[in-house]
Amino acid sequence: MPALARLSLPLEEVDVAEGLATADAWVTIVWNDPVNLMSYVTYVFRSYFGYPQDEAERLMLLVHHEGRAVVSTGHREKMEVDVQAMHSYGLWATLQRSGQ
Amino acid sequence: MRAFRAHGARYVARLEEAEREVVSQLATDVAELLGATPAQLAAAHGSSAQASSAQGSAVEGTGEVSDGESAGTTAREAAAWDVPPLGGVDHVLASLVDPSTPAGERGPGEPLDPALRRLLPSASQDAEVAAEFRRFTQVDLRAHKIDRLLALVAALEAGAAKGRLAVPKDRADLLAGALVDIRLVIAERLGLDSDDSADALYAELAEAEAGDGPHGVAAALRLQLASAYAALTWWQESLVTAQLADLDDAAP
Repeated sequence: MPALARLSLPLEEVDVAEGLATADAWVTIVWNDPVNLMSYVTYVFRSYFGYPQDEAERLMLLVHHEGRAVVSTGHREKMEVDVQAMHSYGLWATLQRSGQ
Repeated sequence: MRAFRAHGARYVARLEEAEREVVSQLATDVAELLGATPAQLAAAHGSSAQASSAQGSAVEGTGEVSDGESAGTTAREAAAWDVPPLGGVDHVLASLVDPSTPAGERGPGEPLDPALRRLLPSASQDAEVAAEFRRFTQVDLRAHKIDRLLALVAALEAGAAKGRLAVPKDRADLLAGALVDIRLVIAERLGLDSDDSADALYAELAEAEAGDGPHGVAAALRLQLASAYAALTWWQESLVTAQLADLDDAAP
């Protein structure tokens, strides 16, 4: 998916020290919605992220009860891929800097 | 409409002719909402029509799922799901979209229709990040969603003579995604915006079934949508149950 790589800042615009500090500082958040089934959300977390049943279910319940859950962490480019995948599955996901 | 069950390398569910027509129409409507072209819609509806009329159910035997299997039907059912992966096609032509089309409804902008915003949601609360994300991903996502909705239409036609819908297991996410998209749009039209309102919908359906609901054309239409939503939700639950069982089997 070459287009996605262009979403990140060109290398020369990123301060090296800052780049190192924030390299892993993005998260993908999945939000609760009234349509997606608890079983389906669990399936997506297992199938796409490869989480074991217990962890997938824990995250699904977080989404269900808290309204949202962080489901993956990493480089911005990876989070962009994850968010697009979640949207493809029909879940609502956003990306943001970790800690925001 | 029966539950999806694993049959070898496929998931199969039986459904009545009238149900097939409703699901096919809903999938077509949502594909149109996403901007499917008339040519795409015609191709999905026509892809297997000739083949299935030439090979009626009488020729194909008992109509049972596993016995008297017709290789032709099975191949057409599988071929219906042969869609490119997300982002797997170069959408150069997307830039040629008629400029008079409202921005957002076909292009990479934020859609105006709230139902479309459910299908193509915002990727960030930061408007700039969200707009940039749409610019680089939305054309691909939209095309993929259209592809799999029309795959559902074609697969329903391919299985019509057998009264069933079949999907290869390794393609089942396409069916699941198409069902979610249809349900997201119906939910938006029904005003389902919380877990509570979803629960209320089932109470409303039960009331109507008992003959206690409101009357009139608008109420009847709402009831039809609500029934379709409930049926598709149940159908999706049966599919994901089968998919989870297969994940369990595959787990170490």
